[in-house]
Amino acid sequence: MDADAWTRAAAYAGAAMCMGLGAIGSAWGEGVAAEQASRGIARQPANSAAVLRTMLVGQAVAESASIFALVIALLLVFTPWGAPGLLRAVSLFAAGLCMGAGALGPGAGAGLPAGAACHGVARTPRAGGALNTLMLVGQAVAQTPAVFALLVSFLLLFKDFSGTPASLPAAAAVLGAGVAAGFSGIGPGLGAGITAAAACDGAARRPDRHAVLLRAMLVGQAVSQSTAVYGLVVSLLLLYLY
Amino acid sequence: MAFDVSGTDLVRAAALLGAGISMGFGAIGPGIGEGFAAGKACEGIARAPEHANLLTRTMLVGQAVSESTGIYALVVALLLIFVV
Repeated sequence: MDADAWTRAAAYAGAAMCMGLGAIGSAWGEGVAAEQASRGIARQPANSAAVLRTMLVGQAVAESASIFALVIALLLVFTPWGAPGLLRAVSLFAAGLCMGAGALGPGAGAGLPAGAACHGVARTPRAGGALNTLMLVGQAVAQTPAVFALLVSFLLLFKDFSGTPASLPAAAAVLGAGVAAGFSGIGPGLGAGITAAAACDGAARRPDRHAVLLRAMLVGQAVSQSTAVYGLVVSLLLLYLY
Repeated sequence: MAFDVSGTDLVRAAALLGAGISMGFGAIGPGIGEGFAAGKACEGIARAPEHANLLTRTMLVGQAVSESTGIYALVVALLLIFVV
């Protein structure tokens, strides 16, 4: 088989990993949001309009991680990737793997606060404003690992390997960069979502305490994001030192 | 796409891929664990905001311990990149 076929095969395999893995988290998260919205509406049908709105906004944010994955998968399938070679082939596969794994945690994590907010809006309609704010801020933090993964995927896709001689260590560094940035996003994305869900739960019970909850949530989420930043650092080291 | 693979190259390649695997998978646990700690702290603060400082301190100590394995993963990744 020639290098061109290998490179195209790697791009298609990367696209499949990207969308296959990337669909899991968001779909699960949106399911959690819909489940909690249904439970809430069953108990308080009068609040269904507000619950539905919160559910749709929360689901839209949770969907963004898998939309990143879709964009990378489509780029991998439809872009002609120039000079074929070992490093190009590995970088295309790594870009897909990175975005696919990177969307797992943030997609699932963003669904948890959406579910908690839907439940809260159904139970305590007057807390709707505070709940929506907490939900959106918490989801935004939970999405950061997906943005790191998108960044590294773009770097892998658009890095010019024509000057680098093909060697096994260089290929391993490129694949390692994708693995580090992608899989390191799973935990922080989920963890930030768990935190935001608990904050939304608390604000639904005590809407007057939403300011102190927002602060506590952000401190806790910031610490749980640290490992995603380590993953990004290791990934950039692997990409640019080798 | 032909290239020579020597033993040194193979070891170097394994170390670099290993660095990515170490940091990538090593980050999963701390992220989720710290999220649980922060979530319970938020729950506690919603119930008893007067204890917010105590709860935040406890949360941060717990998260620091749970962070340790993430730092091990980072140290191993940096060792694999720069030392091995």
